[in-house]
Amino acid sequence: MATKSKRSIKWLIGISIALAALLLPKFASDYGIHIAIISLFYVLMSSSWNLVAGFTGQVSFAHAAFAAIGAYASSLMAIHYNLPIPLTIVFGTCIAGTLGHVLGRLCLPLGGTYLSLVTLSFAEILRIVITNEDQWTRGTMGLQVPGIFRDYSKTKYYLLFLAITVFAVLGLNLLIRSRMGLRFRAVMDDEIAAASVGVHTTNIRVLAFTLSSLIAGLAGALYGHYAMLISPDIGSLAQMFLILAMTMIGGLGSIEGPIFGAILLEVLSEQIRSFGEYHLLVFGVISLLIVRFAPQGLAGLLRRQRWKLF
Amino acid sequence: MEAILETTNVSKKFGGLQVLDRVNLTVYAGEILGLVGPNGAGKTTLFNILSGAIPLDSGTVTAFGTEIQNKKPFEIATLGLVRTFQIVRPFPTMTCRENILVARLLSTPRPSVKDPLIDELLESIGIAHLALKKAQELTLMEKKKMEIARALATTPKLLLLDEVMSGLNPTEINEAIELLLKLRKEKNITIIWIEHVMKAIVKTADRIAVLHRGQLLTVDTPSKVISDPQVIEVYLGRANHA
Repeated sequence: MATKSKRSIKWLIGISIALAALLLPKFASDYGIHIAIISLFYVLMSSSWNLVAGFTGQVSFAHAAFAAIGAYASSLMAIHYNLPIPLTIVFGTCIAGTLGHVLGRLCLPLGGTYLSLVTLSFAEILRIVITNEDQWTRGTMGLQVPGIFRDYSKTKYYLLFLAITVFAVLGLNLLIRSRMGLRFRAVMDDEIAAASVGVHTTNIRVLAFTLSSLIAGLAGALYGHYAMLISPDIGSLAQMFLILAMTMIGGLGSIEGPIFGAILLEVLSEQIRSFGEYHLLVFGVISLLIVRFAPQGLAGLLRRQRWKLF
Repeated sequence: MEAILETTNVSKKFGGLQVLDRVNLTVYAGEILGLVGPNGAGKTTLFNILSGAIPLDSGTVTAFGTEIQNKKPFEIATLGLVRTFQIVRPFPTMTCRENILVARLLSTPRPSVKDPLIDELLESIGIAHLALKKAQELTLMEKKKMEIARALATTPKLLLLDEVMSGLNPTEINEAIELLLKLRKEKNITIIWIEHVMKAIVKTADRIAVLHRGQLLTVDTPSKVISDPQVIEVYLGRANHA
């Protein structure tokens, strides 16, 4: 009985969240919808970063860089070849996925610290290239990008982002619960033991890294065509650390954690925008407190109260 | 008898220390081969080489008719040579059942969630009641049992057991011995077994190999090995004629 009523409460909460999400554009201001869209962008980013960091135990610093690759690849295709935007988004996503695969193949066998260092340099190199190749990218002045919809509507963008984010998160949830996800977790828990029962540890990590880059590329491409102006800042390390903080605060290694973390930090950062650069200080303090007192993040705190969304 | 594993002149140095020195060992299908020797004799190093965890310096290892000394651990596991670890290595955040399910993926790419072999294994190892418990919550004995079940779930042809008895009390040792004999009989598995508990190994093994300072001293039946003066010397030291 207890589990049955708990299940129906879970359904009730799920349905109300879905309704609230769908009806949000009816009630929110343009500014509110904008915050919601950016939150969804960060949900995509931190959920996909979590796939590598939280489920296979590898810390990559190139995740924001892959979003930049997706954004610039899609935008440049749209500008120079005048192709339909959905097609260029697919193209940008694939470029990010392919580069992710190559980078993963090259440095995942090194593992651990080396992966972090290589991805860190990759992100910086990419930022410098984008900044300096300004005949193509217009560097720090920013590249003007065509929008997805002919007549600009924040609601349409919001619903598009919402659909893709829901699709991606449900997909990640299915993946983690699948047999492949079991292998991911085995590799994270104990690489040597995983190999000893026949798990191809490198291939598993490369697969996670590729999928994660693919989603980052998609998120970046969508973001570019929404913001209509992209600069090298998308791939900056400041972005990367924001994504990292969102995932850590929300709860590394859980499906719902990055969702909580991304929405919370994005909304919060808008609220404390007036403090200027000090808002990073606030995030730093929150991250420290969470890591010290709730290492499983917000998701872990909720789980301790026997609440589990997925 | 059919040889299932053969090492030829396997040597390994750690810095200036010769850990294994031209080891030639043949293991026959269906036997339980005990591997004994004092601390630092090279037993676990030999296991690490057989399972592909560390490379050897020279020599060859042939298992099931193929040379495996250059293969990676997961490839060797795929061939049917699977090990357990001296210090247990469970997947701590996963349940007992999930631990075993990961291993099951090797022999059956798409096992059903309710795969009967997993239940059968849990049952026969005696940890069915722990199926849904997280591996990090298990006791040492339970973790060891789970690791054996996990290794067996890959349906190995050759199983390397590294000190499964250490840390167990006499009752548990007897349980474990019965389990090993049952496994050999039911699953037709060949076992190489490193052990410090001499009583257990003398009772269970068909042959015993003795390693000493990286060299293979002798391989023979248990009764012959324990009366071998060389072996007695290794374990008890030379008689002191003062």
